Formats: sequence, C-alpha cells, structure tokens
Amino acid sequence: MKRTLENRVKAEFSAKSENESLARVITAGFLMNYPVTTEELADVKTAVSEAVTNSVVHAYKGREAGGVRLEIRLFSGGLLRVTVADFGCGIADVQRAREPFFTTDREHERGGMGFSVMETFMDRVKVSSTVEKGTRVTLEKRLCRMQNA
Amino acid sequence: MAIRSEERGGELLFYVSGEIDHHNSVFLREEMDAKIASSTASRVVLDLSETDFCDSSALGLILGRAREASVCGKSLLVQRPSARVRKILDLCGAGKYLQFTERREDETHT
Repeated sequence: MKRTLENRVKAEFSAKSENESLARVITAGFLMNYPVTTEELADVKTAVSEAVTNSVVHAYKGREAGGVRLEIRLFSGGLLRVTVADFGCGIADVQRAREPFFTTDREHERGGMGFSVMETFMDRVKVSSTVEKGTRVTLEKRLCRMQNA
Repeated sequence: MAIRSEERGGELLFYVSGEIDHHNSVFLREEMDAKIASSTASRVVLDLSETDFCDSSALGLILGRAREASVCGKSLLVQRPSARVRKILDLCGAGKYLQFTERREDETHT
C-alpha cells in the first residue's frame, strides 16, 4: 500500500539541554490534532526526548555547539515517522552504541539506556551515522486509532 | 519541574513534580545530594506521585541518589511512581536495586 503524507513539521534548534523539553512540546503539539492514545503520546514523547538528549550530550562534545533537526511526518494509515538528526561527531560503532548500558558519559550518570527506551516505546528505530558528519535517528510508530485513516 | 523537600520522623522526603529529563536532572541531583549529605535522617524518600514525565535520565538520577544515600549510611525509598515511570525504571532491571512504596503522604509516619 502506498502511503501518502498527511502532515509534517520540521524544526531546528540549538543542541542545548533546555531544548529537550521544546522537542517534546513540538511533538505533543503536532499529535494533538490526531486521535492518539495517551499511552502512544507518552511513548513518542519519551523516545523523542531520548534521541534529542543523545544529540545534546554527545554530538558536539569538545567542538562548537551545532543544531538538532527534528522532523515529524504522519502518513496515511497512521504511520508516524520522527527523525532526529545532528551534524556532529557521529558514532563510529552504532551497533555498540545501541547496546543497553553502553555509555561514554559515566561521570554524568548517563545510564546508557537511551536506545533501549526508544526501542521499547517505538515500533522501529533506525540509526544511521557518519563520523564527523552526524547522526540521524528514525523512529516509527503505528498509531492504533488511525489504522483506517 | 519543581522539587520540594521536608524532614520528619527520621525521613528526608523529596517531592518531584513535573518532568524529569536530562536538562533538569542536573539541578535535581545537586539539590538532592546537598540535602542528603547534610541530613541526619536515616531514610531518604523520593516521592514521584506528581512526576508526569521522565526519560532514562531519571534512571541515572534515581540510581545515583540511591548510591549517594547509601554512602551517607541512609536507604532510599521510591514512593508512588506512576506506571509509566515505573516502566522506565524496570526497563533495564534497575527496579531490582530499588525499594518502592505505594504509601501516601498521610501514611509517612510509620
């Protein structure tokens, strides 16, 4: 089945920790017009928060702070696709980074559970990264009340 | 996010309302560690009944405070987390290392 794009929003902001809540608010605002369940809304907000936090914490370490781009797309049939991209250092070993408890930031009590949370709350998590170019996380979820839309 | 604390009946209680994320967990950590270190209470209680959002940052925050409390010879009790918050804490088995209670505020003198 060919999916058609129903709606989309794109926002770019500085990779600063105060923008983690901004990203959640944009996500919640976008979904507000659709019949999402409170559970789905919380799932997506949590996953977005994790992805944005990863970019804020890791992407621009030891270099000039750059941006984070959040794109939310809703397709027919209720497929929600969120991408969170940064233009920072990239991840050399994506597979390892996705393992539970893997963290490069012990001193700040980062638990290394970000990707595990994303995988728990979303249907699909894709990570593509190029060293010195940046990282893009794609999160997908089928919204149950919009299956027939 | 807002945090308030009080000490009574040998307990140091923290009430965290709103959202716990990476941004504000830094502030929460400093606030709590200072009070945990200076308190004479034998137990630290972290009430999450008013916490309506958290991501994995809360995991690091709570496990870190449990460790901090233990270093100061105290125990940490996580009080009334929502199902959602509990799910995140249980995700990596961290729930095993924490003590939970469903008691309400008016039941704290036990």
